[in-house]
Amino acid sequence: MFKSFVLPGKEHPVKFDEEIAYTETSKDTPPVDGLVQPAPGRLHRLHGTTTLGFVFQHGVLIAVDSRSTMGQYISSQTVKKVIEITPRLLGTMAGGAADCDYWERRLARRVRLRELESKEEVTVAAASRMLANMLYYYKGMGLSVGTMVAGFDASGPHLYYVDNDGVRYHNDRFSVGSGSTYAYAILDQEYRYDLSVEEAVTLGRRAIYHATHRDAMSGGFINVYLMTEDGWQRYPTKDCYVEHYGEEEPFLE
Amino acid sequence: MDSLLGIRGKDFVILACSMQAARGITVQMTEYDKIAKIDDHKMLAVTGEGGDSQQFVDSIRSSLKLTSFRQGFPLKVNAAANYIRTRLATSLRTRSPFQVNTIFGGVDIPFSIESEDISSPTTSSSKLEEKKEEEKSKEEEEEEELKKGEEEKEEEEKDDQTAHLYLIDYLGTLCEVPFAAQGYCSHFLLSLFDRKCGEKAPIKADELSIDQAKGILQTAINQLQVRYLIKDPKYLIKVVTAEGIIEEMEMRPHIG
Repeated sequence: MFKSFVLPGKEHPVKFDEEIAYTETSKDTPPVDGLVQPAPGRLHRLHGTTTLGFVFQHGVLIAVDSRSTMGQYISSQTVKKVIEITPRLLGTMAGGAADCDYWERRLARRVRLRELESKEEVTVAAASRMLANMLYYYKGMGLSVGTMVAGFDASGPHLYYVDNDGVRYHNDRFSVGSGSTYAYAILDQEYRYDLSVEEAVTLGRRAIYHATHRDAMSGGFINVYLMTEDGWQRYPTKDCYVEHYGEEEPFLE
Repeated sequence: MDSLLGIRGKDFVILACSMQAARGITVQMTEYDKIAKIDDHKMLAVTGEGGDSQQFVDSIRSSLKLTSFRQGFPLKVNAAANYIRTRLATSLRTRSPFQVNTIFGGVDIPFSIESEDISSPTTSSSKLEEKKEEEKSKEEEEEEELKKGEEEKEEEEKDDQTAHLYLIDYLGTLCEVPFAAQGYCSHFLLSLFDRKCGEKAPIKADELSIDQAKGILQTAINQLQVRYLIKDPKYLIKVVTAEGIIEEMEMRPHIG
């Protein structure tokens, strides 16, 4: 079963994490207009994202942005926020990049081992439950994970939402991250079960585009994955800048 | 904030819950079932810290199921309620207590151990001896059985309240109630329940029919729509009787 690993050798691992992540360097930053400026600590992690997923007649569609921010600073515009767990399972990344990456890779390892052991495909329900149980074990210890587990198994396409509270929901559509409210508005208005593949891909991209437009912490490129019975496939990446201005940034030439 | 409601009749329990599951300011699910089926005749409605509530329900359900497998029959509602209370009370003194508030309801069903005799197998010779002994003592036994039967009948007549409803909170507080509300909605609804089916009401909760109880729940849901800041668009209703969980329906508020 699930094995835990060694925690930081401090009396209060959670306090230690908070100190190093948020408060340590804030003391050193000079106050502006008499206000202490919140500054990212040494371990401040990626936050702010828009990810979405929905189930429709042809499978599950996943669309994500690619921006990574550390406070005011955009630390990357080319983050890969979809994690390929198995050929028929995908995970998305919102919250702390390191936490999502680590725990979903750990999930991938556990799923693969179980498949080799039982010679049966692990269902989406089981995989998402494994992740939820792992996260529940470390609840309150400072993990930051907001993920969707999408997949196709013998019972069809499924989409689960799992986060660091240990919550696990099953539904036909979800959006996670700071831009999720913007994405939901588009998704809820235009979503239907009988979307064609083309319509679905467009809807996914459109919802993420609108979220990146309003949410400063989302942006970069839009990545789309479609999960069907035959496994996932990736659709061409779109640049948010080009989507909005209709051209490459001219001064780069 | 989630709303949980419950009413207990003589031989039925009705539980209701709001169907939204929210994270922060976002509604993540609009059709979320907060009333877990523990077995055919018991339901546990749970609110509280996300994650905790899901894990808690799973844990309780499997523990009670294991108990029923071991014993050969399920726990009585009262026993199960006390079990849940104890789990919460012990968890309260751990590093990460379950932050859950619950309403637990169910109906006691008479059971008979019909399954084959579990006692150690006997040899054929000893069986014969037993038969003789049985014949001898049969008359005596019959007399005793008659007496016992009369006593049992009297007991049954006294204890025809088969439905039970309990309020259990994260501190491990357990109390049996005729009606229950958990969450902020209780501030708006307990008075209404008192008026409709409380101690001083013309009809007590135990005298209600299922339809009357549903009517009270409908009024309660309507009232929440008028004064409660959070307006849940629909509620899930579950009815449990001796026949099991006989009904699951959605209830929407009627305004005007």
